[in-house]
Amino acid sequence: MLAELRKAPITLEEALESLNRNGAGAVVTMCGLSRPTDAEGTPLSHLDYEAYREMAERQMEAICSETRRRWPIIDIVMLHRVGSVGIGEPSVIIVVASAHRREAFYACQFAIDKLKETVPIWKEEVPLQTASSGSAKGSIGRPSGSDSKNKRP
Amino acid sequence: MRLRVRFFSALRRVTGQSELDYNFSGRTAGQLWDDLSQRFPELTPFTESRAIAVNLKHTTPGHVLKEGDEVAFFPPVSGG
Repeated sequence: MLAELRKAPITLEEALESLNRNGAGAVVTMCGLSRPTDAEGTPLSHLDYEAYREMAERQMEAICSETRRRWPIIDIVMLHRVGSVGIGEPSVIIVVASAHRREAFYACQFAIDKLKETVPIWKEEVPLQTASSGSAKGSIGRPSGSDSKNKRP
Repeated sequence: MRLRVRFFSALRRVTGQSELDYNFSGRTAGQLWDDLSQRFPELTPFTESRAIAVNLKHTTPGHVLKEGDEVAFFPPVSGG
């Protein structure tokens, strides 16, 4: 089991290398990528991820442990970026190995949903036209109604 | 009591503070938020949406604080 928050790029290959697949009949992968536009179609330069690191790492580990308790999986690896993430790059990767496919699918779905609901990480969408000036437009998580562009995707 | 207060994401930006050593005379995390909202009125619009964590665990405004606690306030999470 591995849960890691990291500034450096993450890859599916390294996640799979870290995954214990002994006895596995299925591996399910979830790879979240930075989209090239925001919800309204505005082109983005990149995404900036901020985390409450100590709490986020602890929660990621707790989610992996809970996932293992709920389903008879063999192993789970969860990686998440912080800092600047380029368009098309993975921001989150979860891989799950199990003897049969069904529990791997359920476990992977549970883990990504739980991560997105509870782990203290925030993404900020940086539009292409303002990236050079250094001011980001859309921070997700401002008060509702304050800015229509700040909706959670 | 002395507390360590931390702000993240939009709350960090509106207060201009990522963390504070804070001397608090109240009792609960919700009272601390009210206290901080007096000092940083920009926090007020976040009252309905903000989350609270004490010593790295999610909690509620009724959480009773103690000396040395780390109390974090942040907007809804948006990782992934």
